Amino acid sequence: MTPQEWQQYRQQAAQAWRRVEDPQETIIWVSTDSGAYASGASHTLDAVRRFVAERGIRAHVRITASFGTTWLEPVVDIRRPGAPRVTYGHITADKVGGLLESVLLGNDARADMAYAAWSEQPYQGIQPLSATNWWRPQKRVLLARCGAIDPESLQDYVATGGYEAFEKALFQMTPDEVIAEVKASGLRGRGGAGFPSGIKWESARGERNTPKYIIVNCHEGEPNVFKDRRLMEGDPHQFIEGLLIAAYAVGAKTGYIYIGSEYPLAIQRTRLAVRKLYEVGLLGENILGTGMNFDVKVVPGAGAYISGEASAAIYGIQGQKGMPRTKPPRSAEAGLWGKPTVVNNTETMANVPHIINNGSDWYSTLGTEKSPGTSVFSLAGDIVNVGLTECEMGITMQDLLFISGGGMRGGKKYRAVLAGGISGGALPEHTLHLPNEFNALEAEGSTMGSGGYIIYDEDTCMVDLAWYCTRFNRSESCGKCVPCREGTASQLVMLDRIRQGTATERDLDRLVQSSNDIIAYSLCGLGQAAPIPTLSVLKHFREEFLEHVREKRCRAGVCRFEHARDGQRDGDSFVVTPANRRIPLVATGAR
Amino acid sequence: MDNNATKRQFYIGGIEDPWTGSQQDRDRVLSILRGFEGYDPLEALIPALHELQKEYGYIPEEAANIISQEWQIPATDLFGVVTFYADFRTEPRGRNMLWICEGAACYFMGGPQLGQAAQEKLKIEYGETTLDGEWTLRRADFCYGACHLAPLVDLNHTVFGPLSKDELGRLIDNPPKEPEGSHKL
Ligand SMILES: Cc1cc2nc3c(=O)[nH]c(=O)nc-3n(C[C@H](O)[C@H](O)[C@H](O)COP(=O)(O)O)c2cc1C
Ligand code: SF4
Ligand code: FES
Repeated sequence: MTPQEWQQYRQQAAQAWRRVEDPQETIIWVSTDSGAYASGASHTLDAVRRFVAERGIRAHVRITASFGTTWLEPVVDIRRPGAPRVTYGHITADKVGGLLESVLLGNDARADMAYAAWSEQPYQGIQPLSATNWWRPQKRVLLARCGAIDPESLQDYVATGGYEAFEKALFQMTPDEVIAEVKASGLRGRGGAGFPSGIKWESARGERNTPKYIIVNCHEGEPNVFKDRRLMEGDPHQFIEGLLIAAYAVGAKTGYIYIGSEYPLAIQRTRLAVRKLYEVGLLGENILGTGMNFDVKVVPGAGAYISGEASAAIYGIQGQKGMPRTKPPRSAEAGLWGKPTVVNNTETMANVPHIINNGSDWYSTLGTEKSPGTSVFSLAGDIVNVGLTECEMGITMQDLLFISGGGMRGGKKYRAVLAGGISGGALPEHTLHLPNEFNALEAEGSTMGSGGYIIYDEDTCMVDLAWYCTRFNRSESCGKCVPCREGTASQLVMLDRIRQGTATERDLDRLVQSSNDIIAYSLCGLGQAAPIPTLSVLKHFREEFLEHVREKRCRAGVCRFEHARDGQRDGDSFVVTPANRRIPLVATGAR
Repeated sequence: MDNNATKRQFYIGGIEDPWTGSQQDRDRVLSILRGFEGYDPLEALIPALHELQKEYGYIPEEAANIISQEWQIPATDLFGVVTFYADFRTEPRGRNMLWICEGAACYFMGGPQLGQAAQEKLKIEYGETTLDGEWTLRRADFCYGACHLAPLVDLNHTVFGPLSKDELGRLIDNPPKEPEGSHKL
């Protein structure tokens, strides 16, 4: 496509988008992403289409992805001419008829089924979205298009300012200027480690060895982190645009998008997006007549969490066992096929178009000095608003969990939040004033990680939590190094003894000791983070451990102490699980 | 090849192994491989294994050997990959595939209890297949990104949740063909 043809495409897209903004026509949006589908959204969509066709209603039915309100799925949005868009929650197929009947034909906005109206003022008794607790603390940058556009349409993306940043980079900036801009923005990696992305790009650009590669790490195997998933399912072109800009800046010829096999819909939508880009000529040879060549391949993973680690992802793409390796050399020097490679997280890439469009000055006004920008948090567990929320970095835990997250479900008492997911630590109530930014939670033994927060109420046993996290790390350990492979296994035994009431207080000291050893001598981030949940629980909830050990009492009523016999110990060669089954202690990585 | 067939029958009860070792099967593997022409064999390996597993429900050893020969990938490397990744199975699967989510939300909201109920009802442990070849049971350590439905199970790529033990029991008694209220992922 020549630049002129591309401008024509852009105009066509804008033309088509007018239909969405057109107030003459009723629009019905049905949210379709994996969370919505799990709740039955495909049946809802069918029912909506059937209703509209059978009643001969003039309405435009569109699909979108969720804008973050996963707990409301299946979500249907309706905008009638002259009225604001209204979001309705829990619209399973059987409720579609009743809803559409009254809203479209009966002139009743059904405040009883509505969550919020996208207006400044309340509408027919429906609260405005901006007044909801969930929305109030948010600052939407990356999720701005989620819920607004059809994720399967390139036109929608282009009509809402898509690929403008890529054009700007390509036609108005040199690669060095792009890198300088990203560096100045202070963008830090969202995959967990928070490494400055501009520096990574710069060192890959400086390498002589060619060809160079870019990998977008969409593996996200950590339980209860689903922000990358929603970014892929809701707005796949956004991070692909970031990838194109990175390719231009670094001088790469091929990009890989590495997606975990647990994410079939994300793979499907990303593949579709890539195919459309080839069709319009934004991928392939001589992109927009500039002589830039760039290919993108979408590569599926195969269900190993450890393959999300950057060097393991490289082996995974090369069709090998996804095990991390020692560094140096860093991937920027010798990565995929031994060539300079940049590995960035999906959300990191999704930030890039916004930085190029609005400039690094704008970007640094968001968030905090050390962690600029916004971050997408996945909230799950015993909390009301299970789903996504995008807030500026530095928002306090209190605001994040109790305002945007809606607080505890069923009036239960807060016990802990597992911040940063399985590789982070549990934080008790008195730490909720802490800000969410890189390196702020470490003092309390936790981390922001990739922004997946799981909230637990008083019915959760903290020993069980430590056991669970250790089991996860144990079974996902790749087995390459002894401290991680055997250390987590022996911790699992110790924690299980505590759960069973057969431990002594010395076991607690041993746990700390072995944790420190595992952290010190493991090769990659999995081993280095594996004992963190245990240590954080020992630090903040020590009295619960002591209750288990001394009194054989579990205040949450989870541990049954069936094996507790005073002065006696279980054998060390196996672990007794709650189902009283033996888990052999060999490295299988079995799921 | 015939004695192989007996071995397979033994190991998965009454059900027929989808891989018979016939020329037709071998051709099918070759046609999967042809779909990756122009790719670096190593880059194509994992996607090809996924396709093979889609076809047969697992990675038959003979099929893996064909890949190894055709693509000049040492068999040890190839079997290393097959056994490293949790997605790939080396045994035929049951007709129904039941995953119990034990992600960090489902685990604390009743996932293990569902798992225990399923294990007791089907009389197998995680990772095993019933002798009649009807059910394979697995534990999901990942999260389905649908924690609002916790605790949930995934039956033949359809998510059900939140479930009680009894509801799970009824689901196992009557696995729905085209379930309401949920969707193929
Ligand atoms: C065990 C382990 C698992 C990881 N999983 C992921 C993942 O799923 N997605 C991801 O983007 N980064 C993951 N990382 C971090 C990557 O190693 C790497 O730091 C990141 O992809 C770099 O991108 P960023 O700089 O944009 O964050 C993981 C790290 C470890 C140690
Ligand atoms: S720390 Fe654990 S996961 Fe990482 S390389 Fe070593 S054994 Fe593998
Ligand atoms: S933990 Fe089960 S769906 Fe998230």
